[in-house]
Amino acid sequence: MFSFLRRGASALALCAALSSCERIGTRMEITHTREISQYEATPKLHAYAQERFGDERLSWKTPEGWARAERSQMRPVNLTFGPNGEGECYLAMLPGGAGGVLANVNRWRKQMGQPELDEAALEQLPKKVLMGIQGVFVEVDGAYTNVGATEAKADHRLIGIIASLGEAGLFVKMVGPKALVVTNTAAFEEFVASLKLRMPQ
Amino acid sequence: MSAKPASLPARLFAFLSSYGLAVVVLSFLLLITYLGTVAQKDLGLLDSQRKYFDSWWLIHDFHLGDMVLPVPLPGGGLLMVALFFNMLCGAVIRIRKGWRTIGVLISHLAILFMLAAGFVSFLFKTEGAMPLFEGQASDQYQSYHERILEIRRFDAAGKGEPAARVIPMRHFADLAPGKARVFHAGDLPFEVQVTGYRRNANVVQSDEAGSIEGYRIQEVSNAKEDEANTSALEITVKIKDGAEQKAILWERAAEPFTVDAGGSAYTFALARMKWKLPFAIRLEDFQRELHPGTMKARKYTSHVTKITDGREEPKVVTMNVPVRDQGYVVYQASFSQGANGEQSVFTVAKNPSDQWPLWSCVAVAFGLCLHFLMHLVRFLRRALQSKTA
Repeated sequence: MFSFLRRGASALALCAALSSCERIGTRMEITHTREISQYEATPKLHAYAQERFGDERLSWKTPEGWARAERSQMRPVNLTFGPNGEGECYLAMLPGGAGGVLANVNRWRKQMGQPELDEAALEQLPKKVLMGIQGVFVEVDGAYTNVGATEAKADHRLIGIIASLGEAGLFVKMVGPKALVVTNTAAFEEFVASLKLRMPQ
Repeated sequence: MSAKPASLPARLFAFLSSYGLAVVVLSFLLLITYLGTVAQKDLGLLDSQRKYFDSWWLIHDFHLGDMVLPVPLPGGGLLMVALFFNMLCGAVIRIRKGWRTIGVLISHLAILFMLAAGFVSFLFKTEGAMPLFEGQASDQYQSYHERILEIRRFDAAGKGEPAARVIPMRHFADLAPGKARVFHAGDLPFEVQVTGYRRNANVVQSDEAGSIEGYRIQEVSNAKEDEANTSALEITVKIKDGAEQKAILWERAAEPFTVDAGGSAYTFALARMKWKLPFAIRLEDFQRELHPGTMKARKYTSHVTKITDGREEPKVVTMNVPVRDQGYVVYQASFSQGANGEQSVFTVAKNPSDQWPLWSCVAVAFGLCLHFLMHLVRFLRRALQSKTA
């Protein structure tokens, strides 16, 4: 009996050693299927490329080395940069303008731990064009406290443009470790210059 | 008179059952466990697991100062197979059998059973995520790592077929730019050529030569955690009437690419593999408790309804208290805060050998207890005999 077991074990070992892998060639037949759940949403058929890739209303150039992050209704363009995506740059479009230009400049300054500006100081800020509209350019260094965060991140830089279009506000904001933001400032300029409204097709 | 040389099977058996093989295999297992654990820091969990533990062999770069020394090593797969046969031949077949060794034999068989459990789990286990908003129901879970190219057919009224065609990731993951493979099926009115697969990529607007529909794939470095990677690839759909359509498929695309062929619409999507459950889960209420003053979770609790063939059953899933049914286990994994509110994230696993390691551990413990008990009894008996003598 034990000699039979011995032979069986040896044969099993040989089979394991010689077991062949799936053959993958230049042409393959599709043989796998998956059952569709009744709870699964029906996809939109014939969606054009901009719909598929979430760029229905805007066009822009993503700078080389930057990545797309999850976008939201508030942030139709949401990008990250840096070796571990520690820098962020996004476009926000708010119908109500979120309190006006001064309030938003001061909100950003507060996030960086800096004192508020008054109207006179706001007038002194440099101007930049965002999607054809002149806005104010903000550059603040300090310790950055993100919305909802409990701890400030030291030695950060925030740069951004705030522009008003009637009641609505357009915001481009870039924030990250200072050295990283400095090396990506040219990419920020490139991104801002490339932002355009997409015309209906 | 010289002894008859051993036959090849006998020599193979002697090798497989040798102590030498056991020592070598266990030493290498110790080494690759150490190297694989350290490598997780740089490679991430999935890649280090695949390189060190799911492989037949590997090349590890030892850093000696400024010098890099590549050393080929046996992988975890090869070592586990070798250990299984070494145990089977040496510790089960070759071992002296009798009442004195019954405990050890039970323990050895239980260890073999544990190795078999690992093998069954490696081959057949499926695991994925099921994220649900309150009020939302689902009867499927989505793989963390396995990507698929999925083709679905819709009729003229927009009604989809109940099953999708699936091209598994192992059939296209090697198709870097410059490499292509054609996929076909007898009842499909087209063939699909796949190329340019990138494990982690953006799809960016572009008017450069070679861009497709105003877009191109921009490769980005792989995230350490594979779940964070969003893959992309290019397809060319070659319809049998001679027309061709090109598209980029991206995991994060909001909608699939559609091609009309043979009177039907076919959608193409790059997605994570989804498996269907024999029951549905509806999230009724999600509660989370945080440690005071922090965002760290103390406890997540999901009140769910399990729906099986229309029959509804209330259940509570919380950390370390999963719901088990029909071989599936639904765990509370995490939650996410999205634009649409709070989302409870469950991990669903199906593993035919789910409980085997537990049974194996119980059997190992029983075998060893029996063995030590028999030794103790023999020792006491001898001690008593020597006293009475």
